[in-house]
Amino acid sequence: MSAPSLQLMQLQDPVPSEATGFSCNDAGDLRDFLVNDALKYVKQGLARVYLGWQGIHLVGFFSLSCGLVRYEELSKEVKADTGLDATNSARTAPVILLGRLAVDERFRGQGIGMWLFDQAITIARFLIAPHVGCRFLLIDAKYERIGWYEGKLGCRVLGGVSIPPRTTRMGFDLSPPQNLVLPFVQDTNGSA
Amino acid sequence: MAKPLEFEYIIRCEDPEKAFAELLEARPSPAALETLKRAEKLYKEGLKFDASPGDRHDAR
Repeated sequence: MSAPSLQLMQLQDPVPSEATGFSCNDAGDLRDFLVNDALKYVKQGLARVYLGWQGIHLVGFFSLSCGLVRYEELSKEVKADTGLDATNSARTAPVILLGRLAVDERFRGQGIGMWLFDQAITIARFLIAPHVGCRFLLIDAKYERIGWYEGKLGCRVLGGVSIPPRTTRMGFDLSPPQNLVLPFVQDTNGSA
Repeated sequence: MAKPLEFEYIIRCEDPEKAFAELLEARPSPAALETLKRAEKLYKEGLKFDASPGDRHDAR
């Protein structure tokens, strides 16, 4: 289902007043992050936070940060399918961490969560990955959301330890298929 | 005075058939493929996000 008239904006100072009315049935953790912590993360360079707007309504948000996943955290199946084994002496893979993807409960069922996830994939896959190595978009998915991430969005359980409680570490492979998107060639016209 | 760098990106594929064969070989899950297709469409349409709260109010 497509969500009409959605806009994505990056969080900057000040936090919009609409954040205080953000409604999420998770004991307020996500709203508290948005109201109290998100801007600190942005100012300290720990995350970029993206807000989804539908007209005047703040309908959802997510954050993106850099991270690493160790090979030993990956399941055998993931290692086999991705080819991530002993080829990298560091034995770590760079990732983009998708944190705190949330949709206001009053706007759920409209495809907004998928739209936010697509935006995150677009940023990671097309704006970051062509210039900076990153293999997965990493998600610490709540148990009840695993099916959605897996079945609807194509993420897979990576294995390993997920820090937040009641979550499983999942990833969306940003690398293959290499040629779904045709390679970019930088045109130097107009450069200094 | 130094001129700011300006970049223009051009999409190019030298061998579409080979690219498609590699795509099939990679065997992404159908859901992952659909996600990538949607993301590719978003990108080609011009992903835009504005950091300016003022612009957000203008857009209302």
